[in-house]
Amino acid sequence: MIIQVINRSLVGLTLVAFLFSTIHAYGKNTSLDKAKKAYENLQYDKVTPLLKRALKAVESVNEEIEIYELFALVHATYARKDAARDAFIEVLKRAENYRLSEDVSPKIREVFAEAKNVYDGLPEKDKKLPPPGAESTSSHQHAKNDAKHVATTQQEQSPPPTKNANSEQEFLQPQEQISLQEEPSFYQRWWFWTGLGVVLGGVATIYFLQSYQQGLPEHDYAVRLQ
Amino acid sequence: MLWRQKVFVLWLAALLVHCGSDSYIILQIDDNDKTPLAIPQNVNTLTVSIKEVESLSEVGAESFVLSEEKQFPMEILLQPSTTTSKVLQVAVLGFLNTKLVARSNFQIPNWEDGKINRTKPVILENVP
Repeated sequence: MIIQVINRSLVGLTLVAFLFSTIHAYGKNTSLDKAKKAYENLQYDKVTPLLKRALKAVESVNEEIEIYELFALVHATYARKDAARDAFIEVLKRAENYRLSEDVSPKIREVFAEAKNVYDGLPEKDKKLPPPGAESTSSHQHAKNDAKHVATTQQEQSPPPTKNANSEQEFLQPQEQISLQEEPSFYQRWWFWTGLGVVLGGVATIYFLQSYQQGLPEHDYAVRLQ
Repeated sequence: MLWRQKVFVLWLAALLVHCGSDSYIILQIDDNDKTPLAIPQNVNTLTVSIKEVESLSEVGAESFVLSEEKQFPMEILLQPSTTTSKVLQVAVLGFLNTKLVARSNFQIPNWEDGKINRTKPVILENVP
């Protein structure tokens, strides 16, 4: 009986944890998390579409910084120096004191140095983002524009494969551009899993409550077994 | 939380719900038509003993003073724990005071977790 009570408590806790995780997912920029994971797993072709989506749901300047930083790293990986530089400039606009970590490759460091030079040469008014009071609207709009800008830059400025370009770049670039146009499947949408979770969670809760209230079946005498 | 993790959590919840459900075994005990057992004239005490078939160790035993209000057939509820063996050997003995008057031995094969398992009606045979 004690084990059964413990089991039921675990079921309750599991359901609560599930609901909290679903609710918690609303408050997070999940696209950014996925983009980070894709980058860590070297799935570079998935990073840019996820970052585009993350920019649409951006909620803080810190998130914007992370997004543009990843944009810059991916562009630099694909040897799109101009796009990488622009992304780094967006980072610097949001965090003037931003510095690359020690373990970053010289190729990326070179692009960042170029971006820093361009940023330092910008007029003061271009270095500033809209004031914090206008962040929720204008910054969001700005982010959207930047997303378009970066995506356009990416498509327009992707250098055609040259004779000297290595085979990896020739292979990866078209693949990434195709990924940009892909729509996520229904099972990758948050509403699908949230809906499924609510339905299954509801069924499990009803089943749990019913079995809890069921009580003993009718009988004349009872024996408890070990 | 990724969708794979959500599926896993749901699966775990379903598993725990399944394991957490109560299990019951109901023994349906009846007397013999040829020599009916009236309570308390013919029988007034019933002893139930349940053993594991493999080890023959006793997992439950109880003795009931039968109430006049309850005549045969009657239902005896067994409440197994999560560690109770799936195959059980049951002995039901009917006494009139200290004299054994009826008995029945039978097996419960593979009772199921989380369900109400009803045995077929068991007939108490008179002991000469």
